[in-house]
Amino acid sequence: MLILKEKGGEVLNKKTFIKYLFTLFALASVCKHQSYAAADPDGCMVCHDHPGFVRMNEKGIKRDFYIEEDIFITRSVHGNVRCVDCHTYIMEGGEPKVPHQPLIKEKVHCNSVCHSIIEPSRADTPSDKKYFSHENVYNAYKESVHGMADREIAPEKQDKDAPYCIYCHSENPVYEKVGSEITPIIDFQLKRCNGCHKDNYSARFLRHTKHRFDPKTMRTKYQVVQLCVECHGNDDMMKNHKLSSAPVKEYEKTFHYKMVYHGGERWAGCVDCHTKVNYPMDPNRPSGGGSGIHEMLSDKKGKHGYESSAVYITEGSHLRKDKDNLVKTCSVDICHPKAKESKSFARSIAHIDTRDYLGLTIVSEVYFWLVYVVLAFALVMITLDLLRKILGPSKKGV
Amino acid sequence: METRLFQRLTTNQIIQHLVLTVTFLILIATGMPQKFPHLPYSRPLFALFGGPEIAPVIHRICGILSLLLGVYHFAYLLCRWIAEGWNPFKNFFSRLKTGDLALCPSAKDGKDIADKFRYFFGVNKEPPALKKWAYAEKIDYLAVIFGTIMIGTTGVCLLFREFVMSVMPWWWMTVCITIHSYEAFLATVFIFTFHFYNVHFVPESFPMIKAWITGKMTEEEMIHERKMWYDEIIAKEKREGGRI
Repeated sequence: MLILKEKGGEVLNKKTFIKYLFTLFALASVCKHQSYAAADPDGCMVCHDHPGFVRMNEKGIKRDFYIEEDIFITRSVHGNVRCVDCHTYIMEGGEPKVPHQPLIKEKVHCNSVCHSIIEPSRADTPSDKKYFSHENVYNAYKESVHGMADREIAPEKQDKDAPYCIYCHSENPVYEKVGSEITPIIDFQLKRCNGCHKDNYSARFLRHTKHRFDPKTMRTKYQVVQLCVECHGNDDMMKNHKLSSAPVKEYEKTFHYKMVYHGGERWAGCVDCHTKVNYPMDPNRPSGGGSGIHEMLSDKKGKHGYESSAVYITEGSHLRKDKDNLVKTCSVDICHPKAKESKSFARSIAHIDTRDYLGLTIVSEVYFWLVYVVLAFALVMITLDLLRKILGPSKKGV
Repeated sequence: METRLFQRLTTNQIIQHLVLTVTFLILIATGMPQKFPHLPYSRPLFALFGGPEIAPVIHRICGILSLLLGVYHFAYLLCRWIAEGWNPFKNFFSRLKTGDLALCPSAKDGKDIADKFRYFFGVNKEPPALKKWAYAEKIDYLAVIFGTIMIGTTGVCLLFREFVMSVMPWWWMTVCITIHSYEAFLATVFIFTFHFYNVHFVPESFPMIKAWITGKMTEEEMIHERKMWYDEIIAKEKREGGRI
């Protein structure tokens, strides 16, 4: 029999000890859950907070349903969002049904309304107590040339190559996941805030926005370019969509790309020319103002009834048809304002395929071979000179 | 016994060459990471010069200094010609044959190259006797002249791109970029192979010929490398009496 002693000298038997252990465990579980109780009123984490929570589906693919509290709840910008705000299919009769149907990826929409419980209920938040939604951005995305992955479209009509929100915002390996990089919150930055705002609110608010400006976590312009190149530099994918990957290769020869590659943020990446991100906000745009990268439009002018993408290039050729549009793009105030009157400048700066122009090809080829000829001459002279020095003067020579 | 020294470069020429060397090396260090950004050394080298915000500015400053050096060099030549009463057209063809046209290519240079190859392949026992300025220096000199003109012109066009493109056709910018980057690469390849070998890596002169710093050559170097020039100096001393 297991004998234990506690204060007062009374003996505990095994049964009682186990009860004590269970109580401790339950308390610990509750305490652990306390950290996200406010964000998980439906108790989803009771099941999903276990690393071994995996399932093999009918196709033999292992699905891991473990949600790391430390990453998602504590550090993610969505950590305060109720699970059912995004996973709406769990709801039945206005309440989450537990156990619920298996996760169907395509049913999670990024235009859900969220923040449905936190802001209105918290007395110490300075927010306007309104619900939040990515609706504006989502509308711009739906209208864009990439919108064919929109999950409100029937699955058979969706373009599987087109990027959905999470392709850029979390799945793509080019990006550092927001939660995976610890943004150090310096205590002294928050001391003044924490005087009024409680429960880690200030840290969460700061982290919500700081990751976009912190050099350790913000997406660099080069990362955005890499993201675009993932698809637009893929020859097969571009052929399937009757496009060419040549513009990517030509862009990589430009001064813009090279400065961006070396970490510059002031030089043009894909978004700067192919969206209106550098233009003034315009309430007539579907985004209701500006959402930059989400407004990337098709090059087919007038497809959606208003002005097409900033840079208008005829699909399938390398001619610049709308030079006025090009001039407008290049001569925005933060880029080349002096180029307002120069159609030549705009046409020359954009990434063109030199193989289309015989004169440019000849210049490139002449210099290309000249380098080899000069190098060959130099190496031959050096090699022969060294050999002669090693072998010594010829005894049979004149 | 004190080694006799012969004047190879004047102080003015030494300074011009030093300025050229420094600007050239900085131009390479700030330019090559732009031409070949994906090479392993590119990012650290570019960052060493201040990254994309500062390195291009340094590149342009050194480019302008190179152009100013070119202008100065032309003015220097002009002043020397005027001061020495030099007439480039006097006995032009005979001097073209004998190689007495300073750094201008001549028939003798062609003969020297042919003799050098004969020496390489064992036909001649001795290398050709060279004058003060031989084919290697002339190739270097003309390469720098040509390169400075090409790179400098295209570089100025790139620097004032909006103005230039307001008067030039659209393809001019692409031509400028192509010529500027390829010519610079060509110059780099040439200097780091041909020129550096002749100055630094020739076994008998390793680690370097000091004339580009001191302006002087020893008698032994003269006899070994510039035999014809040495003989001319000795012959002139004998005719006129005393040392030149």
